[in-house]
Amino acid sequence: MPKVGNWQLGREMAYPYEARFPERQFAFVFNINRCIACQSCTMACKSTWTFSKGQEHMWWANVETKPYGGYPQSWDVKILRQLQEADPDGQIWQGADLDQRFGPYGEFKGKTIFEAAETHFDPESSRVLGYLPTDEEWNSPNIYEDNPLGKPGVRDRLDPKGVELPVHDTWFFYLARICNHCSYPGCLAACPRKAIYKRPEDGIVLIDQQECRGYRKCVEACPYKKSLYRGNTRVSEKCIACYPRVEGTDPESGGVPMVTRCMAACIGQIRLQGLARLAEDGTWAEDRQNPLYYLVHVAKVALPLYPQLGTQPNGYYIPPRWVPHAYLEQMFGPGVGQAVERYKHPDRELLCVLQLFRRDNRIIFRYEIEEGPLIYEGEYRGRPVTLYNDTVIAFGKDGSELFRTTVEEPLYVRSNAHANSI
Amino acid sequence: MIKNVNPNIEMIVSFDIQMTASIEYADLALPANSWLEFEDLEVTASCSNPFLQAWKGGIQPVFDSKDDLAILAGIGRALGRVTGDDRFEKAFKFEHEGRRDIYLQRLLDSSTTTSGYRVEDLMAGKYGPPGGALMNFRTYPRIPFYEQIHDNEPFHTDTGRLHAYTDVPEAIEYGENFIVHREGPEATPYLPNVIVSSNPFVRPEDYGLPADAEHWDERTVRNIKMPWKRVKTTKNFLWEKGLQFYCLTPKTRHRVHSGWSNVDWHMLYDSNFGDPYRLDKRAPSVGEHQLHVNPQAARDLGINDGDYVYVDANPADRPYLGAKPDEFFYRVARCMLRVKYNHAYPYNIVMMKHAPFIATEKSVRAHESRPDGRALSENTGYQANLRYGSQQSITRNWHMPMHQTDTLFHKSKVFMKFIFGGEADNHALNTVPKETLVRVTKAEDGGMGGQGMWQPATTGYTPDNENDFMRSYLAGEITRVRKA
Ligand code: SF4
Ligand code: SF4
Ligand code: SF4
Repeated sequence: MPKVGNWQLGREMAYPYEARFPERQFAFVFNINRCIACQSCTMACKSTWTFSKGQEHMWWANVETKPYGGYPQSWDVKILRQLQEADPDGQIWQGADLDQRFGPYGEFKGKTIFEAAETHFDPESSRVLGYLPTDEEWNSPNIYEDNPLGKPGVRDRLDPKGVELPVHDTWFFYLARICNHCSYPGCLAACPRKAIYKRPEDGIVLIDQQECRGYRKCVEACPYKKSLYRGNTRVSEKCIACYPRVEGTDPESGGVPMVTRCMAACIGQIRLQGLARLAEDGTWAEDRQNPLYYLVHVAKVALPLYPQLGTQPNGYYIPPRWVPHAYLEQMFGPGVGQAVERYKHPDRELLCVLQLFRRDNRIIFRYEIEEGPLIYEGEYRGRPVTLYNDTVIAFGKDGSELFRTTVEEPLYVRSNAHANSI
Repeated sequence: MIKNVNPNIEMIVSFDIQMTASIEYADLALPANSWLEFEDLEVTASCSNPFLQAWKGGIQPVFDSKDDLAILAGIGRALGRVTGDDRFEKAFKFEHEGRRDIYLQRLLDSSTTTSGYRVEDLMAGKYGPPGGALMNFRTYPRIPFYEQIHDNEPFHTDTGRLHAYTDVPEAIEYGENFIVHREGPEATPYLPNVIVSSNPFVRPEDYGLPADAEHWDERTVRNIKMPWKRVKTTKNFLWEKGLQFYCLTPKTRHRVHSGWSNVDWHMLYDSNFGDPYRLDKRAPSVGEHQLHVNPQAARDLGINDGDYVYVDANPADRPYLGAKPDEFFYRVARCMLRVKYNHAYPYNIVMMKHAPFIATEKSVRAHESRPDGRALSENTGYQANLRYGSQQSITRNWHMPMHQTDTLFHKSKVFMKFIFGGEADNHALNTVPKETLVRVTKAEDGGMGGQGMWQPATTGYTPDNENDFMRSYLAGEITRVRKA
């Protein structure tokens, strides 16, 4: 297999094809700390793309409760188990200098799904380690909603301690997921008909419905299980990143690149989606004022989902601050401690950028900050804190202003013809 | 209601936008337009929502359903004809004339948060998107009691003040002249409804009702005061009879009260038992109602994750007055649903989400006779969320006396005025309170067709049934980080 650079792993890795990179890459950051699992994103996608016969089991966007939930059931436990069996005790990150521009995740010493396939599978039969979920595993997409990892119950007793920060003993969190439009897609690598392609303009990964013959190699190979088989058309389907919106060809867009349906519907304002500019080597080109670039490469608060799988996913997550770090590191890699710490004590710029999430239907390409007055000085989570009411301004593709918003929510007082206590 | 009240009512007319149990049990059902089908203006706002929304639908009604107001006006006109009293018709004058906007304008004019808005401007998009506007509260964000603190507005109490003591006669009689805690009339291990206080100025009238009175009305009105150290030694007779689970019935994020309860996508998302293909024919539909139970508590009762259980409350009045276990209606009314293991709940607490669509006589007959087992009523098309029973099987209304006084001062519900006395929906029956004591007993195995364990719980990846690998996964030991 050829070698490709995977900056999330801090090293090169084997991949069935030579590396080819798009001009820009569809990417997103989800702030898990804010998700309420309202499933508005799920239903927005469902009602736009997968409401037809044969798609009853199909949820391109879903939100599952971790650690017990999963759609399909236990998808991540199962792929981690396969990897562990292929590489017992080898699945380890060697911690690295977290301040390197491209090394916030250290170096991964273990095996990716491509590398494990070379040793573990018969190379003729498969290029990617994976498994085909049973039909039943796609049922009950919200299984174990709101189930924490908890302690055994004792009759006539409440937990004497309850939960306390910084890390809860009894915990769960909501993981919102769509296709990661990976840089090295497992689905694409596995397709024997080359029916899956990555668009050169935006890196969106699509299945050509004419070329696909429904072999389900992609369903087996996508470690995130975001490629799904449809029985009545006998071909596979997946999230299309709402590409007419991202392109600006959707009738509603007026020619301006828009965020996807699942992003636009987010009630919890946890989502920020955009298009990252790539360098020749496939890393993110420096783009200091792009909010995604800032969150991933400058503040380093947003981390990829299961980077050790090796597909270089383009979905990033601000990890939940109340969850034990060993579990989070298993899911997001070595950057967890730093990301949680910075999110808990955001600096002036991070606080501004966090205001940009889900404020507009158009894609933000750049932001600027106008400094505002000091509004608060005090202590927060055991540390001194200084707050400024800065204004953050978002700009679109053509450089025009999309919106501006402030750190502090403005207060309006109306005349006494109006009442609050009614 | 269904068993003991409805048969005594001469005629029940109900209208709704879909086939609900209320419609199924009505003598006459009138189909209303859904929000998307409205043919004239409709408006909504709520006390906690900063937005006002008015709209007119747009999609052709599927059959000959009508807007709610059109239905009411039509009933008014018909009653006018029957009675010869033209006030029935005149009450809906502007609806008959196609001028619903006049009512809407009056509504805007008479609300402090919308006065100044004009209907035509609202619909033309002058205040935001067409039909949308901000509710003009005194402040945004809304700060409670802003005008009481900054202006001369009195607090909305009978004295205009906030007080920790009230001398209204009923409050003194009921022992609530000071702020006191009362145990619940049912969901407590202690004496039901006991007033927990050692304040010598709390001197309630106990009407001679003994502490061992069990009737629901006696428990509701009984005023026995005790200090905490004595309360601790008392017992609830229901607890003594083995009803030792508090059942909470909070709202689910997948419905609005009972609205959209049987929409297939919501049923798939609302429980552990979503299955679009209904492999297990016992399921009422593509999803099924569930009871969250602490795994240890379930195990102690021999209940596995995914099993069916019966949930029973005080048999004296539930599932209905005069219930006889050998009659068909008892099977319809006794709550049966599936268990979901959940460590979020302490041992003695079980949780069942609020307001699923109830099992009806027709849905049960369908479930028991249809080859596919769906709880889909014949000839009405009503789809139940449970095979048997409902939330109402285990809960009942508690009309607490302090909420029923003639002097209770408060803001009226849908109108800008203040009133004295109780009011429906604010103080009387409003679905059901979140408290009941229940017993949980196993009904059927969770496995396919009632055989063995529910399949997902056998995988080793589910709560309280974890295998070694899953335990390592939960501890984050599979992919580890070695610090540099
Ligand atoms: S998440 Fe799965 S389906 Fe999406 S691009 Fe990556 S490998 Fe393919
Ligand atoms: S990006 Fe579009 S297609 Fe993909 S999950 Fe979101 S809504 Fe669905
Ligand atoms: S819409 Fe947003 S807040 Fe709601 S579940 Fe989806 S990601 Fe979470």
